[in-house]
Amino acid sequence: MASRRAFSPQTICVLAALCAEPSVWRHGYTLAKQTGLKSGTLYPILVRLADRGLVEASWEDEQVPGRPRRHLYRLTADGLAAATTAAIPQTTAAREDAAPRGRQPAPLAARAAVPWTG
Amino acid sequence: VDRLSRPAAAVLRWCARLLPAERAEWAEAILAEAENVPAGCQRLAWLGGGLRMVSGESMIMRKAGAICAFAVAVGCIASLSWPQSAVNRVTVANRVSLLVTVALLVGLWVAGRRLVGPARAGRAQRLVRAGGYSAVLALTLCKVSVERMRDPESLGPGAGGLLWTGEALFLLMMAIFTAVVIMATAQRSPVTTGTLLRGIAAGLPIGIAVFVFLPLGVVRYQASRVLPAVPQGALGALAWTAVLVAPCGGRRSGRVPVHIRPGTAACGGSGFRV
Repeated sequence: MASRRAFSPQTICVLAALCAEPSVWRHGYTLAKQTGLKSGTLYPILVRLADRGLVEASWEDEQVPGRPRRHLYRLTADGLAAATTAAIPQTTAAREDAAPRGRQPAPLAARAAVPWTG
Repeated sequence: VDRLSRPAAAVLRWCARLLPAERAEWAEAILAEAENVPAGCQRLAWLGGGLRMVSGESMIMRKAGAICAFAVAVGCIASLSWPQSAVNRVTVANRVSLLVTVALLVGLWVAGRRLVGPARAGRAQRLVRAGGYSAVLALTLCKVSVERMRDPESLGPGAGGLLWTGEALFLLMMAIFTAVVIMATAQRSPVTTGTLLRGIAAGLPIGIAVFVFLPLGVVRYQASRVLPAVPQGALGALAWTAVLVAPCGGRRSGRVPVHIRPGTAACGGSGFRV
């Protein structure tokens, strides 16, 4: 299992967001809104986590007319274990570190309701 | 602003081609997700983040840096190979040598990508490949800067054939060395990182010994001032013995020859070539 030091504050934020409901598949945009991370930060993190087998990615099964199929993410068993040991105790500190300067970090649950601002 | 989203998506879609195959779906994911981001600045920023991800994952800056470094090195050698002074046989040989060397380096790289895949992502493989290319270019630079000072009259009327034979041998060894470096560091190469490191560790000292003590080595030109008390002939024989015996000695242990042979052959051959 990955050590706690191996995760950046932003990665811990992503793990925490995925860990809230581990069995639920999440969209990238939802994760961006929850974590406050931009796509250019969020997706490289997801790529690394998927490479390490901590996150599994899948495409939507059903094709919705008018828009392309979306990519979905959720934690693997290893990812859940890593998130449980690394992300949860660090969530508060990670949110503070990952928050953009000049803005007060919102609680993780509250961020889901805040639209992503790019 | 929303009008810019469409061209931005097209740029991202085009740039996604720079990604390795296993990463391409991540760019598609960002593009697909962009449809769900509110139109306007947010969608544009989302696509901009996608471009940032693609530039990072494709290591485009590193590749651009490598290409620039290669171009600068070739430019330096070319500036020496195309002097302002009168053209003689040595100058022509230097120019041909440079052109063929560049063609070899580029051609073998392209052929290597098709036959054994691109370079492996490991740090050791990148270092070996960059070191190999740098060594070939540095050696060409040294050869050109030494030979351009040579007096063409000293070559004599019948020395042209010898000159071109020497150039051909030089280029042949360059080609073999470059091909070995590319094959040993490619994605589909059977040479593992450990093998590569052990090969270098085994071959480098032998290569240096060959370079220093061989009949064409630097010690001969130092008039015995470097190691006056050391019998150079014996050391030269020892270096050659090491080059020839190392693979045979490794055969006894089964695994070792795979580790020692590439490094010994490459480094020993490099020392001899220098």
